[in-house]
Amino acid sequence: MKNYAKLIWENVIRYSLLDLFTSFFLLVAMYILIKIIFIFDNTFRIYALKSFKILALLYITAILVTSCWYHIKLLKLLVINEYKNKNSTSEKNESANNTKDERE
Amino acid sequence: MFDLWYREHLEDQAKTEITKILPRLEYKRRTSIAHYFFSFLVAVIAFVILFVTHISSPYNEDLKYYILTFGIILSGVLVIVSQFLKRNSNFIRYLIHVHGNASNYIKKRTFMDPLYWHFFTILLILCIPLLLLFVMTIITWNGNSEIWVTVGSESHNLHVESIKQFSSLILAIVSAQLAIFTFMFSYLLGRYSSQIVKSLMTHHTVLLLWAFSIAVLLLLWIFYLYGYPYLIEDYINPIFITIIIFSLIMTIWVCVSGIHPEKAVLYAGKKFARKTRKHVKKSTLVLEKKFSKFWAVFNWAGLDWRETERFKLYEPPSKGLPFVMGYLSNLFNAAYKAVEENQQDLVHNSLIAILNVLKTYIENRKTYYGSRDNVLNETNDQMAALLKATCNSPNEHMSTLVIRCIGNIGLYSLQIEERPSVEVPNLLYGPPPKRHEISLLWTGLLKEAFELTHKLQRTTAPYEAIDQLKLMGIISHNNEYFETMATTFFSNIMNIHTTSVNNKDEYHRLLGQKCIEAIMYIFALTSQDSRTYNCSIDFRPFNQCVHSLKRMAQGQFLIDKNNFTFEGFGNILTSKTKESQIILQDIFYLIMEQNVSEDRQKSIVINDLENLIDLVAEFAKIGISQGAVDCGMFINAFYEIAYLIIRKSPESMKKYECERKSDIPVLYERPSTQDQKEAKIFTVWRDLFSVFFDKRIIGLDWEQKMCAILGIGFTNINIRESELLKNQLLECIDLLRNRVIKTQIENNRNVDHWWPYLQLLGAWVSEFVKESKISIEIASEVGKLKPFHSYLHGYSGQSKFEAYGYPSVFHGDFFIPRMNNLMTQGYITEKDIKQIICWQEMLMNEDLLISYHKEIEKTRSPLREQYYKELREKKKERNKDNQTEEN
Repeated sequence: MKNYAKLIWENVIRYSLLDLFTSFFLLVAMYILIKIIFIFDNTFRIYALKSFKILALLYITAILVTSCWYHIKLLKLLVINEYKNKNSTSEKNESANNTKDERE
Repeated sequence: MFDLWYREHLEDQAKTEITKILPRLEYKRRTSIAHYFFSFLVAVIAFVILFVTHISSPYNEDLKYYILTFGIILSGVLVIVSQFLKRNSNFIRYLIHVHGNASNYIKKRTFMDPLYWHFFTILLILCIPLLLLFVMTIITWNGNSEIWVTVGSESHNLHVESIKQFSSLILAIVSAQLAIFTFMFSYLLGRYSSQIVKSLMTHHTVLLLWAFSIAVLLLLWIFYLYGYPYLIEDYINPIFITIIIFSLIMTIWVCVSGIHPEKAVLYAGKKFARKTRKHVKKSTLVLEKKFSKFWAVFNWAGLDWRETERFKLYEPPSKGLPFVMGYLSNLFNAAYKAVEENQQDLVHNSLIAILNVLKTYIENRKTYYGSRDNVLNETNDQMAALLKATCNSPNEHMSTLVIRCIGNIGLYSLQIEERPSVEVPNLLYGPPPKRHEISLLWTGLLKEAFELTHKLQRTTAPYEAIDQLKLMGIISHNNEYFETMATTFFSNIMNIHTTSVNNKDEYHRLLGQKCIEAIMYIFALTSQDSRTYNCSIDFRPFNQCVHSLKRMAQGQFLIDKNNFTFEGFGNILTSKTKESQIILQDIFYLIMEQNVSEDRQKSIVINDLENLIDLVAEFAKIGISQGAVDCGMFINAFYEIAYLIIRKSPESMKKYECERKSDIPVLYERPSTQDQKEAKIFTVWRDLFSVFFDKRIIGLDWEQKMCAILGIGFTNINIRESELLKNQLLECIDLLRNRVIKTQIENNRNVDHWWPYLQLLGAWVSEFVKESKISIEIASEVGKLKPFHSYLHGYSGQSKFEAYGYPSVFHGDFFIPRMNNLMTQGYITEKDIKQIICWQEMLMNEDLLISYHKEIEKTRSPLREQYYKELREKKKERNKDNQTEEN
C-alpha cells in the first residue's frame, strides 16, 4: 500500500500539482492583462472576464482529466506487472516441484 | 612552480567540467522556456476563441448557444490536448528545436542588420493601418452619401483645410527623410565607402518608410480631390495626426540606428554577399551532367538558355568577377580607414563583411575547378597590406583579427578543388597526392603574419597564426591534399618553430610549444590512415609528422637544457597534463587499436608502430646527449608503450594470425605481429639501456621502469607460443649483466645501485625461464662482485626485501610503476589493473626472492666473513700502530 501511494505521488499527483501551479500563474497573468487591456471599455471587459472564468474552469477540468488518465495508465501497468509476477512465481514453483519430484 | 602549475591544472579541470555541465543546464532552461511558452500560447488562443464567441453570439440570437458551446468545446479540446502534449518529451524536444532555430535566425539577422526590427515595427504600426484605410477607400469609392463623402459637400469643405495642412506636413516629412537619410548617412559613412552608404540608403526599411510617406501623401490627395469614406469622417484629424507623429518617431529611430558605421558595414557585407551570389553563378556541372529541376524542364523543351560562361570548367564566369572585386575593395577601404582611426570594432566588422562576401563567392566558385583565382589573389594582396597596417597600429590586437580572417579565408579556399576527383578502385592504396595551389597563398600569408607579429608585445596574433595553420592542416588532411601538407604546412610550422626556438625567452618557448601541439594534433589524425601512397616522394602525412617532430626536437631540446618546466619537450610529447593534450602514447594506442584486416594494412600498422617506438627512443637519446632535464619522460613513455605491446594484441590482429596458420604451405613463415612488436621493443630496450648506462644517468627512475618492462615480459613468457620473448629477455639480461660486471671489474665508476636489480633479474630468470644455469651464474656473480659496503645507498629500513639485497624504490620494495598517462585515458580497464596486481605478486613472491637470496649467500657468506675478518684485522693493526705511536 505504501509503495502504491508512493507510485501515485511520483507519477500522478506531483505532476498534477505542478500543472495546477503553472495554470494558476498563467491565469493570474491573463487576468491582469485583461484588466489592463480593457481598462476603458466596460462591455468588452465583461465579455473577457466571462471568457476568463470559463477558461479557468476548462483548465481545472483538463488537469483532472489528465491526472485520471495517468492514474488509469499506472493502474494498468501495475496490474500487468502483478500478473507477470504471479505467472513467473507459479512457473518457478512448478519447476521447483518438478525437480523435487524428479529427485524423489 | 609546481604549485602554480597545479593551480592552473585545477582551473583547467574545473573549466572542462563546467563546459560539460553547461549544455545540460542550457537544455533544461530551454525546456522550461518551451514548456511555459507553449502553455501561455495555448491559454491565449483558447481565451481568444472564447472571447470571440462571446462577442459574436449576441448578434445571432438563434445560434447564440450553439456558437457558445462550439467555442467552449473547441477551447476545452485545445486545453486538454495541450495538457497531454506538455508531458510528451518528443513534442517538447520538437518545440525546443523550433525555438532554437528561430532564436538563432533572429540573432543572426539582428547582428547583421541594424534595421531588422524597424522594418517589422513600421509594417505593424504604420503600414497595416494605412493599408486598411486604402482598402476602405477603394471599397467605398464614389458610393452613395451614406458611405462616401464627395467633394464639395459640407463635410468635405469642413475638412479640406486640415487635409491641405496634412499634405504639406507629410511633404515636409518626405523631404526631411530624404535629407536625413542621404546627407546624414553619406556624411557619417561616406568617408569609409560610398557603396556602404548606398547599401544603407537602399535598405528595405528606409525604402518602406519613404514608400509609406508617399502613400500617405497619395491618400491625402485622393481625399482632397475625390472625397473620403463616410466612416472616417469624424476621425480624419486624429488618424493623420497619429500617422504623422509615428512617422516622425520611426524616421528618427531609423536614423539613429542607421548611423552606426559598425553595423552599417556588416549590413553592407550581407548585401554585397547577396549580390555576389547573383553575379557569380554556379557551374552548369557539365561533368556531373546534373541539371537543376528548373533547367531540366527548359532543356527538355529545347530552351537551355543558360549563360555560356557557366559551361567553363576551370574558372568562374568572368562577368561577375569585377563586381566581387569592387565589393571587396569597398570593404577593404572601410577596414583601412578603421585601422587608421584605430577603431577596432569597425575593423572587426569589416573583416566579417569581407568573409561574408568571400564565403558566398567560394560557395559558387567551388562548382568550378582550377588552381588560380583572381579574386582570391587580389584579396590576398589586400590582406597582406591590411596586416602590415595593423602591425604598425598602436592597437596591436587588431592584427589578431586580421590573422583570424586570413585563416578563415584559407579554410574556405580549400573547398575549391584543382581538378575533378578521381575514383580510386583499390582502397588499400591511398589516393594520388593532391595539390592545392590556392591555399598556398594563405598559408604563406599566415607564416608572414607570424614573422611580422611575433616581435609585438601586446597581441596574441602569433598564437592565432599557428592555430589557423593547424586548422588549415586539419582540413587539408581531411581533403587529402597531402602534397600541399608536405610542402607547405609542415615546412611552415617547422620554420615558425625554428624562429621561436631561436628567440630564447619564455614567450617564444610557448610559441614553440604551440607548434609542437599543432603537429601532434595532425599526428593523431594521420595515425588512423593505414594506406600506402604510390608516389616517388614520401608524402604520407604520418611519415611527415615523424620527420617534422624529429627536426623540431633538435631545437627544442636546446631550450630545455638545464631548465625543467612542465612545458618542456618531453612533457608536451609524453605527459598528459590536460585532457585535450595529445601525447605519443595516445597515437600509439590509436594505431594499435585500428581495425585492420588486410595483409598490406597490417604490415603498415606494424611499421608505424615500430617508427613510433624508434621516435620515442631517438628523442630519449637526443635528450640525453643534449642534457635535457626532462628526457626521463621518454623512458616513461617507452615503458607505457612496452606495456601496451606486451599485455596483448588487439582482437583484429589475433584473428588474422589464426587465419594465417591455416594458410600452409608457405615459403617463408613470417613472425606473428606480437613477436614482431616484442622484438622491436626489446631491441630498443637494449639500445636505450646502453645509452643511458653509458651516460651515467642517475635519478630519473629509469632503472625501475626498464626493469619493470623485463618483469612484465617474464610474467608473460608462459602464455606465448614462440620462444622469441624468452630469448629477447635473456638477451637483455645478458647485456645488463655484462655491462654492470665489466664496469665493476674495470672499476670505472660506481654501479652499486645496479647490483640489487641484477639480483632481482636473476631471481626472475630462475622462476620464469627455468634456466638454472644462467640464474646460478648471476647469483654467483652478484655474490662475488657486489661490494659489501656502498656509499651510494643506505638501507632505508622500510622495505621488506632490501635487506636481502633487492632494490628499493621510493623507500619501498620494487613495484610495477603506475601507467598514469594510460589510466586517465581509459586505455587500462579494471581487468588490466587486476592483471598488473597479479604480475606484481608473481614478481615479488616472497618464497622466490628469499630462496634466490639463499642461493647468492652460498657464494657471498664466506666472502663476507673473509671481508669482515680482514677489516677487523686491519682495525686491530691500526689500533696497535696507534698505541705504539702513543707510547
